Amino acid sequence: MASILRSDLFMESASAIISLLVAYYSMRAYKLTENRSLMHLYYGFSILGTGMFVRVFSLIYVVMIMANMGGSRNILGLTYTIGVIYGILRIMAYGFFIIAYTERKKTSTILPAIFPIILNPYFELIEITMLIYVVIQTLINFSEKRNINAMLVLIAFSLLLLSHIAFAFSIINLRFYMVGHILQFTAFLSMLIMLIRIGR
Amino acid sequence: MVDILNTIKEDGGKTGITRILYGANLSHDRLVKYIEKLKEKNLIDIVKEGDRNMYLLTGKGYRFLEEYEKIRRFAEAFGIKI
Repeated sequence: MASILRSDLFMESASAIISLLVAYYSMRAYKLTENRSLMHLYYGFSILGTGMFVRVFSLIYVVMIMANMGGSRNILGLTYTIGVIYGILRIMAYGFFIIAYTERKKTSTILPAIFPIILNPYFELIEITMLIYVVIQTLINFSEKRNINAMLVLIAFSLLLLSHIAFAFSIINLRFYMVGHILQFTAFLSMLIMLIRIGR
Repeated sequence: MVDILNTIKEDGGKTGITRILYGANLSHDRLVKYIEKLKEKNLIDIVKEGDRNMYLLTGKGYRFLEEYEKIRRFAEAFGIKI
């Protein structure tokens, strides 16, 4: 179980770094063009990357406490709070993505028990709904542009959507938790490939 | 402003006002305003050739266009028009 958490934290850290890279690129683009949609992309990816890092460091802290004290009510409470904060940050991030596209139109043994708390199912449902909208927008963009970079962004947001569906199912079966993280990591790898292609 | 820089680049890095007017599709007044801004930012230089002004793309101007092209492709990937 600890190995699941380790690889999950590794993938989430890597995804966070990529998310912050996309945010940095969006900020550079915004400074150059003063396009507000790019500013909202910057806010979205910054919040998403920061949220991932907050979750990674908080969970490392929780695991360290658990290793010393075992599971207690306080730890479960802390884990729940981390889950809520992370969920709120993700909803904020996806909200900024939606605004960006709206503007475009204008122009241990206790570990299994904490997974459902880390992943609040209500947040997952909200995030799935928000991501469906973003995926539709990226699909429309890809059908118009028909280029590889637009396809990579479509793949990234589609995988992110699938990862949230997997996270929602992790309450029923823990295997979905790892599937969700693999999908999320692959989504950010797709973003990274897009950034590398653009930077060439 | 990017259209102005691109027009100069297309003409080998140096061109006259008439060519920029057509290339950037701007009124004369707006063109003069933008050229002043580009000169202030050292993206272009103005040199005299005979009795006419010629507009030169500087090294900074070339780098700006390269950066802008990357940004354009980035924005396009997300479906954002700049």
